[in-house]
Amino acid sequence: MSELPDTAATRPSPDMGVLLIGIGLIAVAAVILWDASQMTMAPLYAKIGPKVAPNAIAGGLVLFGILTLLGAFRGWFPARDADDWAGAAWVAGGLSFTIAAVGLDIGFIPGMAVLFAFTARAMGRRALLVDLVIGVVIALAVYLLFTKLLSLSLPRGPLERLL
Amino acid sequence: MFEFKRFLRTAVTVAAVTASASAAFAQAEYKLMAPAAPGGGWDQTARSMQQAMVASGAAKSVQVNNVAGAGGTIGIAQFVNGSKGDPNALMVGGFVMMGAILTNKSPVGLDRVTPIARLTGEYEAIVVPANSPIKTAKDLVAALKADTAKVTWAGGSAGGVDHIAAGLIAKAAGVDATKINYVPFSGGGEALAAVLSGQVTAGISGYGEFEGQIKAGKLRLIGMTSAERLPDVDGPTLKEQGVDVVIANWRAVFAAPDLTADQKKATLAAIEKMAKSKEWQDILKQKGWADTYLAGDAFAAYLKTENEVVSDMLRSIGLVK
Amino acid sequence: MFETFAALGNGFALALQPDKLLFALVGVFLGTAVGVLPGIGPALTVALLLPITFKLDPTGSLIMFAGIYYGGMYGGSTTAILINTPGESASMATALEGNKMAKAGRGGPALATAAIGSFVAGLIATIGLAFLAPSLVELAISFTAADYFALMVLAFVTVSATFGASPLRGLTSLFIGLSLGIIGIDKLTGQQRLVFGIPDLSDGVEVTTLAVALFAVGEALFVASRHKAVTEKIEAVRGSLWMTKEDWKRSWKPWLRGALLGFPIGALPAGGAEIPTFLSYSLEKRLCKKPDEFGNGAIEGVAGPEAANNASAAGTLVPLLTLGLPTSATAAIMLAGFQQYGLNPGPLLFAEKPDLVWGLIASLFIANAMLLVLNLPLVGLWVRLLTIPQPWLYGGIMVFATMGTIAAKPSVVELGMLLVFGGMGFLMRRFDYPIAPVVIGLILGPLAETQLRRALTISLGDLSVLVKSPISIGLYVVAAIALLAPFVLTRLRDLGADED
Repeated sequence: MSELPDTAATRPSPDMGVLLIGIGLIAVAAVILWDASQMTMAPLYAKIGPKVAPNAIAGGLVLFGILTLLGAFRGWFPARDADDWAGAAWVAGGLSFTIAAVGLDIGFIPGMAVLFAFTARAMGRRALLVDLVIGVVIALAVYLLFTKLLSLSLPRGPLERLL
Repeated sequence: MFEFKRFLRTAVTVAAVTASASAAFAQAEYKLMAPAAPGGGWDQTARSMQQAMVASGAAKSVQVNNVAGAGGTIGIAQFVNGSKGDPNALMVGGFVMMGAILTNKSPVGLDRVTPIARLTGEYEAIVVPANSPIKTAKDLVAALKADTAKVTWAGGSAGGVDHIAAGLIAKAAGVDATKINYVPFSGGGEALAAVLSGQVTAGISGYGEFEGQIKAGKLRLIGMTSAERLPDVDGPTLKEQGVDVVIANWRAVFAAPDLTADQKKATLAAIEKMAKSKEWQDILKQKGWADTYLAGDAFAAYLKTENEVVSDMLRSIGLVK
Repeated sequence: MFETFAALGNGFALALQPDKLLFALVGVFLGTAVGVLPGIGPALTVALLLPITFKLDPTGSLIMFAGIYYGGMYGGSTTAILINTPGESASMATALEGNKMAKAGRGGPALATAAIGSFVAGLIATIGLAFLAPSLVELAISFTAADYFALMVLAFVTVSATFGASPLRGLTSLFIGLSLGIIGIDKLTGQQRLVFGIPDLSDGVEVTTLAVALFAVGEALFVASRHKAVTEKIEAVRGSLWMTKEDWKRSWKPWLRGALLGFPIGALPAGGAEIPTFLSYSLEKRLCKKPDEFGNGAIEGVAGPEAANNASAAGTLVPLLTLGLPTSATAAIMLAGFQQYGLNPGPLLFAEKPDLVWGLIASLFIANAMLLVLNLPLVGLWVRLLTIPQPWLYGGIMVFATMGTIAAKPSVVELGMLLVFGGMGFLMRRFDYPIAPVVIGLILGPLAETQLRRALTISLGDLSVLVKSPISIGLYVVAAIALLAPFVLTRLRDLGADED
């Protein structure tokens, strides 16, 4: 690996984020191996069956997971500056609402409007209501375009049923 | 929050009442689900129905809605949950869905929807490259008996209609159906290429997939899975060559669960009007689909026997325990 | 040969009437407008717009149809360049360099090279379709499962071009993609893998969902988490809006090479549009005189893949017209469309219905030209999109990315994947993992596995089948060269340096 020689030995503590990634990779590999062990149908004629690829991929993940763990202690990963988690949370929250809007029949337009407004909020705007209105206008235009012109069906809630 | 929920419920009820009231008046506005992505057989069936239902006056409008995935089992689950008692909701389905419900252990089966009518069928064609030593179905049976593994079959997805038909042929030939060397391809196109280049012994798929190549003399048709010779197909059936296999990839239309007798009757009438229309017959001819119209209770009975055949075969292939 | 020209001439005479030209323009416009929506790929675009063409006479509808097809294929690249949201998997390679260019104020040249490259490649490929189709199809059909596997090996070898600074992180990304590729029903035995009882997973992870999530959603999350620290200022135009002389000089060879990769691979029954775009991307990176620019907005990385993408679209028509063999979802819908006009693709088509075939091919030429006419003037308008204030721009991107997914598959599981993979894209950006290998792994992994196992099923487990055909051997040789060349070149360069 090209990043081997480094200044890292001087770093006092492991990079926790990277450590978690390494553990995560090995965990994913474990799930893949378990799933492959559940498969019952062997190939009839090909020597390579449905378990071979998952096992090989899991092997690779374990290897890279171990190297990543090593990297966490040796400082192979670039330093990161602090994050504004609130910003990312607004975007994720907006998207979560959209998912709920589709799943709970709240409808396409509210889902899209909230997603738009929350994302704008995440990027630092402080006018949630104005953005909600803009979002509704955009979503309405899209909704009419898709359903009326292209006759695609979009999730419908109480609002959409009135159209 | 509670207020909002009640508002929602009221709004939904109002909308539903408005919708059903208007349906009772003129011709209905149907929502037709194609439980597959655009381009496939169900999508084409749905879009053809849309065309014919509107043109023949069987419906005022038809909106096609694709819900792709898992051999139609995602579509049927959504259909059953989402349109209970809705007299204007229709869904296309067929043989493949029946198999997928079994192999995917889908909790929602065809017994949960209201069967309306079988509309089309596509019979399977078994072809070999033009220069193959296999000339008839008897030769194929002989080759299977000599070494089942050496006879490679190219067809559609594992557990699909092509796979099941190949299994049935092996069974009828008296060899172990679990030992057939079936190679699944995604989509007919790739399988066709594999047969043309002689990579595999035989190809098995809907006749339409092979038609052009058969007519051009690049493929030899050695048998059809229809009970009798078809008018547009120049070739023998398997049955007349002593291989007793009759199977069709049928496609049908279903209505929502929990319909009243009147609602069911209205839908049956609309579909019958479409199926008998000139527009629909023209489409069938154009697409090379056989008219296998079978409606109501007779269709429901057919579904039962067909389900036996499919689950038997899937069990012997090993896809269903 | 002369007959071919005469027939093509007749086709043009038919297609060049003013009203037919209008149909072509409308088709291209509609195709681009719908194809631009992420998640709505060319297949759905054509399916949605097909009914519109039914209302016209056969010639008119064929022409509009050709326009919709090319427009839909091209549409995805605009969003890929401007807002880092590949509209379909084949425009992912375009997003890699194109979006970097757009962020540096070079969105204009990026869009222009994409449009002109698509035109040039479309032109070459359509000529190829007109003159080479019958012989090319013989070759395409003789491609065995083992040959496809060799092609995948070559593609895998070249993936390293997208790895960025660290091989460990690049390989990890690739293997995450490969892991995602396992999900779904195993093609050869029909068993479920990593489905966990969720029916939506049994068809596997949709490539566009993953690409949109990693690229668009991941970026929105990333930018939102950092906008306080660094205010990213996007300048719509820095320098020239149009391609400079330098840009032209750097673009024309990639266009030609892209077309030469895209057309034949597109003509293969299982070739597709993604593999030629990846191959073109890595090829251009290798050949580029300024390899450092790759990853920071190299115009070659837009010109090549875009040309390859459009050429493969024309390549798809080779097996479709000559064999009646639809090799993609888009082609299957086109087949349905052709049948509507009494055109039954197959070996007899060129003999039975020459006027319609040549009319179609002429229409493709015209649609291709219309694409350029429509899109070049729009470049100025498109780049202005980037001047929208950042909060609204990203709000719009999120709406755009999500609505494509909702329109294509309105399921909670699909949208959930958008969120989960978006989060993954965010983390990957934060820890400096490259994004593209994940998507490439998802595309190539299942293809390689299926072809390998198919080859072995046919050969009853005999491994020697893998190196039996000259095509396979040739592809492995190219792969070996691609793998070893960088080391050898560095050695040679070092040697040369020593002597100085």
